[in-house]
Amino acid sequence: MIIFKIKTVKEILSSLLPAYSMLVPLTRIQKLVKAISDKIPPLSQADEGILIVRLPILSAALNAAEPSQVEEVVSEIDGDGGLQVTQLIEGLTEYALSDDHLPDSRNAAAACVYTLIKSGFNKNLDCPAKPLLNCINNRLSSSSDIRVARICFEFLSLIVSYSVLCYYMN
Amino acid sequence: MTTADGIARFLMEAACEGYAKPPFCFSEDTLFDISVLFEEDYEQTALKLIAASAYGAILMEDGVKPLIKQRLIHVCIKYIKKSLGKGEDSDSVGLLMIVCYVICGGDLLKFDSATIHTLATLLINGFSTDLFQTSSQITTKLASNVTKARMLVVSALLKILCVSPKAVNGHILEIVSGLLRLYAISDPSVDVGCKLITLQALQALAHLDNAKDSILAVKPAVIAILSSSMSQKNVILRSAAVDVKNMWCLVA
Repeated sequence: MIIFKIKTVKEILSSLLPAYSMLVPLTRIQKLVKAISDKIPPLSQADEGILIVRLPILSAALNAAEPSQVEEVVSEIDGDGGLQVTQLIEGLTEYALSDDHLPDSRNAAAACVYTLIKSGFNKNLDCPAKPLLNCINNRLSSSSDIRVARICFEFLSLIVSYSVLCYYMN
Repeated sequence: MTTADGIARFLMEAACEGYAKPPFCFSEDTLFDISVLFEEDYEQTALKLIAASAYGAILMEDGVKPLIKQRLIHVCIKYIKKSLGKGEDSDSVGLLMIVCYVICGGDLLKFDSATIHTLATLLINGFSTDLFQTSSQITTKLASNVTKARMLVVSALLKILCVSPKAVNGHILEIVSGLLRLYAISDPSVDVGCKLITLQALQALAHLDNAKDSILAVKPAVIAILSSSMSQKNVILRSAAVDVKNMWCLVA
């Protein structure tokens, strides 16, 4: 039953995503970010379902958005007292690296992380990945779980890949 | 870019030495030490393989401009040379993996001959590590990681044989014995890719012009081993083995 629903969602999304690949109103992106930040990390199947639908939409919208728009979205996330952008990036990265989720939504989460981190470099502000690095440092130095160490190494690898790609794009 | 350099360096040191200062860490005392956090040898080796793989993923990233890749590789080669100069363990599995990623991800034509020779020597020494011993603990506990690591070693060797064959001068016997051992120990039902790439490396060796004496010395052994694989069930593997055997028969 769930597989059938996922297939249906995929079919609908494939028709819906081209619309989000154009310029999307800022308020719509903000709502999407808010909705996703409330569900990361997913605590139930219902949360997972929402992420499966909304993450590809957000990644398409962020990808199509002007850099200034993404910067505004990032400022809004940090300013409204809710989940900070660094925590959102951490949640999305953990989601992208976890084997427990569907590949399409993991790809979408990775694309969102990429755009959000890039916005930090665009603004020439403090890199939003820095708190993530602190978190990784703490986990690496304290955990003796091989899975945690593996995820931390992969985080670090992703961060460098993002930064080296962004460095030459700007 | 300093942070990115720091992270790349951290991954490299964790893979090669098993300990490193975490990147972006202000405290001087904080040290990530695999041997302290993980007791079992195979866990420590697995972590080194994972760290090397994370470093390799950066070098293999699509769309990275050559200059930035060159910068990361330069830092790595400098570190490797420094480690070797200090007389540190040159047969570490982590170091071997890092060397393989540098060879596979870098542009060998831009390296000077001394550097390629150093990398080739480290790579060939890799055939005597635990990765290529069937009885070692990591081979039994980390079977899938070991298979990938072996394939990476042979891929790196193949790249050197094709791009800079002079770098392996004087090492033909070690290479052939390593390749034949790998060919013999890899399971034909699971590691078809590994066997095929090993055959490809053997084929590339047969074309080397500047090491004829060594190649002729090992020719009978190679032909004998390849003849024994004529009964392989896998058609692709059997056909590749026949082609390579024929190639070696023609070496004179």
